[in-house]
Amino acid sequence: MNSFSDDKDPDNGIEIFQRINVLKLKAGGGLKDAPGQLAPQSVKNADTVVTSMATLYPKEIENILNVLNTEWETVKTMPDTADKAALAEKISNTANQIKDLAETFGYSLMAHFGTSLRDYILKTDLSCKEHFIIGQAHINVMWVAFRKNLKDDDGGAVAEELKEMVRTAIEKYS
Amino acid sequence: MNTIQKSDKSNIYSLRSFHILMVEDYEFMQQLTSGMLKAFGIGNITICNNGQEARDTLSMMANAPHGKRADIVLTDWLMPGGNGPELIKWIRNHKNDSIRFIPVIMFSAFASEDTVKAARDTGANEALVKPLSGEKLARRILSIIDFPRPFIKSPDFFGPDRRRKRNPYRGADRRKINPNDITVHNE
Repeated sequence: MNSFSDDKDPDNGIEIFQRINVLKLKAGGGLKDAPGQLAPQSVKNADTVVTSMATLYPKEIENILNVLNTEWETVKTMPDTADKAALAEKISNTANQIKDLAETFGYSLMAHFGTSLRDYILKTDLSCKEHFIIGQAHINVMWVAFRKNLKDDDGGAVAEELKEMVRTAIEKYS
Repeated sequence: MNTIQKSDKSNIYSLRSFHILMVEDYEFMQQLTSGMLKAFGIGNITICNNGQEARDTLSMMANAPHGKRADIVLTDWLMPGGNGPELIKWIRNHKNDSIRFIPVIMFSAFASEDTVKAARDTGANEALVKPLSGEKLARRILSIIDFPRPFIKSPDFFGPDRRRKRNPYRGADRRKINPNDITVHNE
């Protein structure tokens, strides 16, 4: 069960474990065979899974933005004495899911705001009212991006305007 | 170099008997990723919602005499209730070989080089930055199958060799050890 040596100097010793490549055998290859491949059609099928799930994006992103709203309203009304760090972590995780989802389906503007909120919220002092303005700005622009179905974060006057709103809020209230 | 698009059918792998343990907290991404794995023909997929569930599942698999053990762990990086780095550390520090040597693919929406390095230094075999695509996911799985690296145990690390290149490395942070302090275990 345990293949480690016990008789070596634990402060200096190096152990190298050369193991039999059981996965190659399990996949139907031989140990000395050249690298193999997956059936090209199966890789295409995997991409089809992504494409087919893209139709679910609008509903899913709306759901998760609602979750974010609820978390945000909770943190806003929490007393300053409460431990807000745990909730900030939760909001960061939700923002990360937004980023993940949006990026998967090519919504780079939403992904941009998800990343920004994910990283910003953990550095924020949630007892500082000014910092709430920055968080609120993120949430507002995400809803606009969703409602206007804005996809790309490069170019486009509305996209630039939304990014500018968040940038300004960060500069002014950080 | 993996050859996903080669048309020679003689070296096409079958992953029907493979068992992948996926650790992902976001249900939508669970569905998407498991759908992709099924498209590859992977026969068994177990889904855990966080690192703690994955630990319990791996422990249960290791203790079941005839149970199906996971061949690869595919884990998200950031998750509440036990994140990816904690899980990988737990795997690599485990006393049971069937857990400790399990190949791990870390997938993350964090695209920074620091995250990829952290995954490597924690003991992940492969790192995959989201968004997922068929080709990216296939490449990581093929890399595990075709290019397994030896595991290294040093005083401060246990995991797959962090050096992928076979050429001698002359940098200041190169490995400096007395050959007498090296033990090689060949299975």
